[in-house]
Amino acid sequence: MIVTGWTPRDRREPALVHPPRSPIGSKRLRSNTRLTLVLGVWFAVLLPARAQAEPTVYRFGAGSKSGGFTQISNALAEGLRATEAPFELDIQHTDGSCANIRRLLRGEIEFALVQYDVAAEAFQAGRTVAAPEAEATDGESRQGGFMCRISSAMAKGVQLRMIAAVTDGAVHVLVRRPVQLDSFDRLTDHRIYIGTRGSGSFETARVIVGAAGLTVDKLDRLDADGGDAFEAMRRDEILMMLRTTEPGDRQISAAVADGIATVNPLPDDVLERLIDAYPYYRVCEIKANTYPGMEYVVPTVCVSTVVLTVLPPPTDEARRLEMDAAVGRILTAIDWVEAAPAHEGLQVHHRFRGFAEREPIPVHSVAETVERLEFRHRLLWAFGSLLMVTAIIVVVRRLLQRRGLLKDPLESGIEGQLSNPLIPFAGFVAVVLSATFMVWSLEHDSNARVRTLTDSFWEMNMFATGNFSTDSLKTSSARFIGATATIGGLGLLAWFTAALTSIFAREEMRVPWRLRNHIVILNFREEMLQLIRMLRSPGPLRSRAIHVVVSDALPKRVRLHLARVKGVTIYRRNPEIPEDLASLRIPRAARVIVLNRDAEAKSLYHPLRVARAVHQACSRVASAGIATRPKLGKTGFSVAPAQHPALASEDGSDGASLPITLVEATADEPSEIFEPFREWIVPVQGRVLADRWLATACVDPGFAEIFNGLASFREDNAEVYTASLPPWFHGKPWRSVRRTLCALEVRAGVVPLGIYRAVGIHAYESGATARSSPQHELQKRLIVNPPLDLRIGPEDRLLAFAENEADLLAVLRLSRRAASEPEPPHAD
Amino acid sequence: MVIVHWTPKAQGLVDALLGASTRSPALGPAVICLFQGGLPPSHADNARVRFVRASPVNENLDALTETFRDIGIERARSIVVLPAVHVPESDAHSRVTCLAITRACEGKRQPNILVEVEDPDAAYEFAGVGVSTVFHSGYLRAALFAHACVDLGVFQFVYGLLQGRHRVRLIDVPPSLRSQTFGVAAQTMETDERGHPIILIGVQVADDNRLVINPGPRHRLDSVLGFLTLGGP
Repeated sequence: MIVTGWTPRDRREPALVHPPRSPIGSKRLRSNTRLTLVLGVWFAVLLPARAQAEPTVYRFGAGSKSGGFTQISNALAEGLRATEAPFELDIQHTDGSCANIRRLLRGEIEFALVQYDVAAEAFQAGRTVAAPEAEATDGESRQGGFMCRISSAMAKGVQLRMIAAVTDGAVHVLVRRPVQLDSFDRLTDHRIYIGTRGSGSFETARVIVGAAGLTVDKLDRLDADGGDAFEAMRRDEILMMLRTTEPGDRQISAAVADGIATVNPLPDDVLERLIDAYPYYRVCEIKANTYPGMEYVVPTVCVSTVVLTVLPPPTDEARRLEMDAAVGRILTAIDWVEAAPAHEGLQVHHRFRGFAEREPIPVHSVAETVERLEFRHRLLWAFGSLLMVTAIIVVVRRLLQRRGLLKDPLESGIEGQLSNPLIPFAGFVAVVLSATFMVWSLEHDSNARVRTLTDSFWEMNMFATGNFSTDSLKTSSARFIGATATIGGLGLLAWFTAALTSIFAREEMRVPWRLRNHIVILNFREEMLQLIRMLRSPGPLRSRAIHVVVSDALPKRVRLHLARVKGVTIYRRNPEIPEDLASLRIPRAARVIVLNRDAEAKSLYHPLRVARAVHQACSRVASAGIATRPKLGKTGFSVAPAQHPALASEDGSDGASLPITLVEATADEPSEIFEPFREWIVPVQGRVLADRWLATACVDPGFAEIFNGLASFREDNAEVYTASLPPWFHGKPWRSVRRTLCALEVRAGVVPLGIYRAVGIHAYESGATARSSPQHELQKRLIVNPPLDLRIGPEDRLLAFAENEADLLAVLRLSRRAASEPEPPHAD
Repeated sequence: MVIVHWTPKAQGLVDALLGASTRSPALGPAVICLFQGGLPPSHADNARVRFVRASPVNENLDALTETFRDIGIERARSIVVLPAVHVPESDAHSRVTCLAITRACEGKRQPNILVEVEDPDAAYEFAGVGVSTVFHSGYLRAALFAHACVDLGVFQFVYGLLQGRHRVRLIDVPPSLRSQTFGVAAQTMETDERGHPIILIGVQVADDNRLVINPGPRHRLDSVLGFLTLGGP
């Protein structure tokens, strides 16, 4: 068959000639088809067709008949046939990489499979200028010191080119069980096997023991093939085997499965020296479970097997073109082998770069073209994916914005996020992750400390937290990245710490678990410190969280005093701005107290405006939660629909509602100013009540003492509480309740005063307050000194004097027996 | 009743006192207001209120004392000393005013003196000047708001006390209950002499005339001067 050139017509669709494949290979086939078509076009356009007589068989250097190189070679030959290449391979069985490289250098073969360390050494030998006396007297070059005894004279003038790296071999350190070797220092004391002389595995092992400071001559070596070596190990004749082979090798698998040997990691010092001296290897690992029972990762070094060729002399253009075409076909065959399920066990995966720390052998021009095309293809694919993702994000974002699900951009400005500790934390994570990937990509081949992404991650964590070390990273680029990670990480950690410190130091520490059934006091002034003291008195059972909004006019000493009170959170806000009240969760509050202005401190906040802000703050929560839009008011602004206030003297309701709000009103303002809010606000005219107090005390001198006793939570029996009446009182007359409780000589005793009717869960129905006011409704619920025949209902609460609330509840619990006794006849 | 340091802002107090007073106008004004400076035209003497100009105590203590004597302050049922305005230390000013009252009443019946202070910490300064009650309006507001936060029912009760809807009175102990305990008395006494429901809430002890609310069910009544009762207005 005469090869006239390589045209697209010479190639058919791989799907037409290949045997049926599994879907696993179909994706690769499609990419291979595109690649092949491109190559075909390239050759058809750029290379003129020549009708010449060309060799139809190319000599291909493999390995031993049963070795891995031969299997790969056979697969390539099959691939060439399958892809209807116009030539065939003459697979030549040799001793391995050393024989192949020598034959290539001598021009005895056109292509060969060579272990990359051997190939690179041969290439380096070719670049070294040989001394004239290097030529042996018989015309043969003397043995050199490069791998496989290659000398510079042998390689002189030979232009080695790499077509592709096809497989990876990992250095396996097999040690007879139960021995574990962590050092090669005493290797000479034991019989070992390091491969067949002349093979790449042998050369690699030679270099490894050299890195351990030993020479092959000093070793007690078993000189046999691999199979015999395994038998020897089974017979305990050798302690260790060094083999460079693909992970998952069947012989090793069998040995490990039979418990003959274990796979040991290369000693760290040997590994480091090996990589430093011979950059043709790369740091890698044998993954866990590669061999039966191997549940851990084994760090080692890997070396690739490459398809090598030699460039024809520059003057022989025709030969060059022919070889170029052949290289193209071989690349196609490699693709075919890669995709063929039948050859999946060979683990063929082509690479042009990135398989060693340093790759001195130039890539063949045809392979370079293929590499560029592949790169463009990947770039296009990545760009297309990015475009698609960006388009999806834009569309989703527009949808969310239209539905109002995205936050107002005014609320999420960058300035507002500077004090958010999550931002520097996220930045720290980003620095560590990006440094992880960059350092790993730079040094994963050559640095055992960043062999895997996980190793690199923890290493970069150390760097980012200030533990910079030049020993950890080898290259300048990696060290620069590490230094940047250190500086950036420390800066971000400082920012994170400052943000956290700011949060804890601020008086407005947010405690979300205290924002339910809490008390909110707005426009606090110094005079009301007594209120805080009373709320923290020991008398009441329940101690609610208190959230106090203060103005800048409040003296600092008062703020400091407040800060020392348990369960008090201070906010320096403007209580007239509804947004400032949002974080107080007012709808969930049990009580809201709006205080009047402090005239002396010239506070600017008016209780009416504060009440408006409270109303607006609750309306916004309500309108966000309900399906219907709030009604428009007369002013054209939306107003909240009427809300049911929270339970009187009990917990706040779950839904958004206007809480029971007390506003401190003054005599200077007309009571009508709170008219718009009369359905939910309880105005407390402090001055009017003070005047009445004074007047009552003037008329009744004992009033002051009595009022003081019951109003303050002092250490006596005069505290007033309400408590639910237990079921045994339901339906009974008030007289019965009175007598039962007065007769109980338990604890400090209680004095029943009356009944408070908290009907249902609402303190007052909105319908009722439409005709009156909350205060009026609450007033109607209280019956002091009720008629003696008033029947007790299930919702009635007892109003009574007691030592404290717990005492009142205890007395009620103890009243069961007394309540069941028959009533004595009462005197009329 | 006498109001010292009256200003137009204290008109609410005047109205409250007039509402609480049962004094017949034929017996003279129910409230006498001592003021300083000028009297606004809207305020003038009437059958129930009389306005008297008094010298500031920091200018002439003797003149103020004399004014007190002139109005017969020793016959007042109660005297309310309000914080003086336009003075740097109104509470100290009030204390000296109380001294003037005490001087004016020397040798005679000491009326019930109530002082409203601006600084609650100044309350102890009024010991020994004949003051029976020191009042701070902030305390009252704080108490009201505190009870509203703790228990709305109690808030309503306290509010009702202030509004006058509930009244606490002192009544005599019936002889039949002298040998009993407070618990028995509370069970027994259900109506007053007019047949209205009452509740016994405490006692006045004989030792120091002190009023004790809820003395306990076992408290003996043999040394009790009277019962504290809670009833309607």
